[in-house]
Amino acid sequence: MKRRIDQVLTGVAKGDAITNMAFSIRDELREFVDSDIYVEFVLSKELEDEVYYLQDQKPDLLVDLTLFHASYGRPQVTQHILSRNEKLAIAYHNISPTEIYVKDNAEFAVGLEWGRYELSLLRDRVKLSFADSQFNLKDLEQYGYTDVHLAPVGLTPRRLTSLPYDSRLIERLNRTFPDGFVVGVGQVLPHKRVEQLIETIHLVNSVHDKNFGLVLVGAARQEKYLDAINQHKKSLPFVNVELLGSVKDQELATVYRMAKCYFGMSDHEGLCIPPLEAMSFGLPVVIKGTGAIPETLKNAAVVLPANASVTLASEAIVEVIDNANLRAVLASRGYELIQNIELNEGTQRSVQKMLELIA
Amino acid sequence: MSESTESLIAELQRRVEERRAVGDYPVGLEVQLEQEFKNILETTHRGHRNFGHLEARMHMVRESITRIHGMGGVDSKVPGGSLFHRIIRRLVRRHVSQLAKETRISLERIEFVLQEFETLIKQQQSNDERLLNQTLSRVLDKLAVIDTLGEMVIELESRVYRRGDEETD
Repeated sequence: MKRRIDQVLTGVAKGDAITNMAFSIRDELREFVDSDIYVEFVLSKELEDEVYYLQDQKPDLLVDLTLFHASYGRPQVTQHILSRNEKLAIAYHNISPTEIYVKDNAEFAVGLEWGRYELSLLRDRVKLSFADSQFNLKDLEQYGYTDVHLAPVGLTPRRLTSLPYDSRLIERLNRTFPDGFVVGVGQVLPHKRVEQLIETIHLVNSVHDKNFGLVLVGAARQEKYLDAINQHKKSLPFVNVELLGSVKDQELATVYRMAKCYFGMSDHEGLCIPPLEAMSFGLPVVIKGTGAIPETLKNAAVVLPANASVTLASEAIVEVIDNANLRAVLASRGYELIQNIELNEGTQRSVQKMLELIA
Repeated sequence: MSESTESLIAELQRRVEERRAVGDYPVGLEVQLEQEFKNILETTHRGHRNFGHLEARMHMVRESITRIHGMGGVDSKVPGGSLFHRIIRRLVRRHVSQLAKETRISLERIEFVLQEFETLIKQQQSNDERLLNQTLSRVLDKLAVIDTLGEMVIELESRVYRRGDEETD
């Protein structure tokens, strides 16, 4: 009988980095064993045929190993995992800080808190653990995990480069932003500091006499924060912001091709894939150096100090856009970095480790 | 951070200070922007809290109570350390177990109180909903009566007009 390694995720969504990683691992696993993905919820309808719901996993289904992706906690998921007898592996993608969500989004905050608590609940059952950055590895060790393997799994920064242009989007963005735009990619959540992205481009335009727009790609998961962002952008008249929400890969590739610069001010990142994808299009990156950012992007981006202000960020954006030499250096370092990442990509290594465990 | 990035950041910081000196970036600009957004966030109201998070928290409390045993691991990186920890653990086991048991009992009492609160809140919410529904249906009944009365008045008025017209003819 063919052996089986399944994966468990709390939820899947189109364009979500962890979802993409899980699919990469599943494709690789299927070369050797049976493999499916089980989730508690599906946020994008088009993925419904790709995964199974946890409640549909038969208790008597023989599984040799389950790989659980830890990033957000749900008691139902923990109980499900603990109720099963197969060996357990964990891929840790980091959990956002809870504090900023306690007041305004108690449910989300509890999910984050539970995610951290879950790490200690599962620890004694886990036979194999992976972290996708040194930052995440250290974080996981705090929960008593030892022998954690550093393996950035499913990292394919060049996955969008072969996609064609979306001509309608080009037309629309050219019309809206005649002098070009800066792009930021990520969920619209408080710790991503979207307000600072808007303030920075407002300063770029008002102080440096430019006329750049700001395009934000990523799902807005909290209405209150989105409302506040919409209100804030009205109070900053020198910046035209377009929130595209969750987009198709082809649209994202088009945005990267058209943008002048990638920009991020997030306060917490466990890995951060979008700037790597931006680099695969030769786009210069200006980003706040929090969490795993410095180790991930190395010298291929303008990594600002972790406490960088919007004024410093605005100077960096202008320098990167106006200085052709700097842009060329960053583009070349970016390509080199991506090449190294793809050479050290951890999917095959992780799958090999899992196969060894069930051998 | 590489040397080239460090010197670039230093140069950018120098430019910020230069611009601040000439008033392009007023002193306190960053703080002011942050405060403005904070104010917006505080006055933005959206949605309401539901019981989802409370149930998850209760679950967390229950889980942690069942895991209180007071016995730490005996692993050690120091040679002989594991044996030392094992001996110490055996020596204090009786007292620590007693302490863990008492802690569990106390926490179970607190859990019970919290559960009572949760039940009371849910009951209160269901009572409020019931009262609101009752009031709403009474208002709707009254509106229906007013509607009927209105129609009757219109009907009466038209009869009066018809009669007046007949008398004029």
